[in-house]
Amino acid sequence: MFTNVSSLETRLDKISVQRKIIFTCSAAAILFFIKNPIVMFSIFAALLIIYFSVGGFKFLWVGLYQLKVTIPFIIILAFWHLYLDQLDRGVTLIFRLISAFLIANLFILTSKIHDIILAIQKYSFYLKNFGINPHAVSITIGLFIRSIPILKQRAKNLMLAQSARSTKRSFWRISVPLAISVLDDADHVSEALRARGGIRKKED
Amino acid sequence: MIEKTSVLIALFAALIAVLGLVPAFPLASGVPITAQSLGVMLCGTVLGSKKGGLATLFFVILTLLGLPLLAGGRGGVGLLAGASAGFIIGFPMAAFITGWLMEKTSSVDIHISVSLSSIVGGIVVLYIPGLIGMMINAGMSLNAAIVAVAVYLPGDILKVILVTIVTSAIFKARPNSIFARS
Repeated sequence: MFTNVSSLETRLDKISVQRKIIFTCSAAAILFFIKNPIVMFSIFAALLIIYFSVGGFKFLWVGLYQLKVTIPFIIILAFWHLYLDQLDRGVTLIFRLISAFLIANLFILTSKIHDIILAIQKYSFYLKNFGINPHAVSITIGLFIRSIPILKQRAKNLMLAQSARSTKRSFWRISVPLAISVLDDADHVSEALRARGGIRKKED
Repeated sequence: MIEKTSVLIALFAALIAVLGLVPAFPLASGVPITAQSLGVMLCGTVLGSKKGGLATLFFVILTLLGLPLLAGGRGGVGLLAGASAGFIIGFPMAAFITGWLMEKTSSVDIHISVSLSSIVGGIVVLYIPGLIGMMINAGMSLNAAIVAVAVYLPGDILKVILVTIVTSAIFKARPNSIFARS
């Protein structure tokens, strides 16, 4: 689940995650203020050129392949705006969607998940200015990342146990034991955290 | 108790992520039917307003920062330009309101309390930003957006029933684990 989608090494891999996060968020925000379809198409074309110049044809293909999740929405947008006879608006919305995904994927494809987590943990320390305990945030992120594969495996095990009792494979039958096991884990892990000194207070 | 709160937030956020692995049904509107909104409702009914809202907010922030946590391995700020944008932004609000209603109806029978909270929080409150998102990102009128999201209602009603079964079962086995009631 947490793998870098692209195995291709690009020049953007060397740029710090923090800078890429700032660029991604700013670029995506700017997209929402552009109303002209020609400008929006130009941005889309520029992004394709960036993909190609960064990692060649293979990287461009990986980027375009990631857009497959947007296809149903693009089809709906196209038909809807053809029906309304608002072609300009439809083209703007479609290229805004594609460009936003291309920008976000450019960041995801060139950043290791480990580096993203480290960057979030590093910057979470500024949250103390807002009265939020940065140590708690840091520990929560670590626990969250570690828990996903554990819960995924547990759901699989519960499915297997269920299939030994019934030929019907239904998710709802395992939902109660899965939820209770999460609450059990919460008890055990919080006890273990406290036993190891607990989470530091804000002022520490 | 900060340890317990942090762990609950992390584990329930992870639970929402794992529910994204349950196969999603893609629909023509571009917003797939996923089990993740079930996790959002569960956060509210089990953890209550503050913890439930924070667990969901935590999940949404990490997703928007680029972690592929949504159903189908989706993640990143690009989601804000998609059809699901309103629903994703609405997740923390939905969990918070679900939890808040659970707390306010703590004296009522658990089945009624969970069903009511999940319908209001997990459907009504979630659909408001969802509709706004579809209107902005798809350029739809309100009526067209309502028609587009109407197909999700039967699935969401099923999720409410499932959340009621799960929360009631937890309450029966471990009453103190329903933080919205303790």
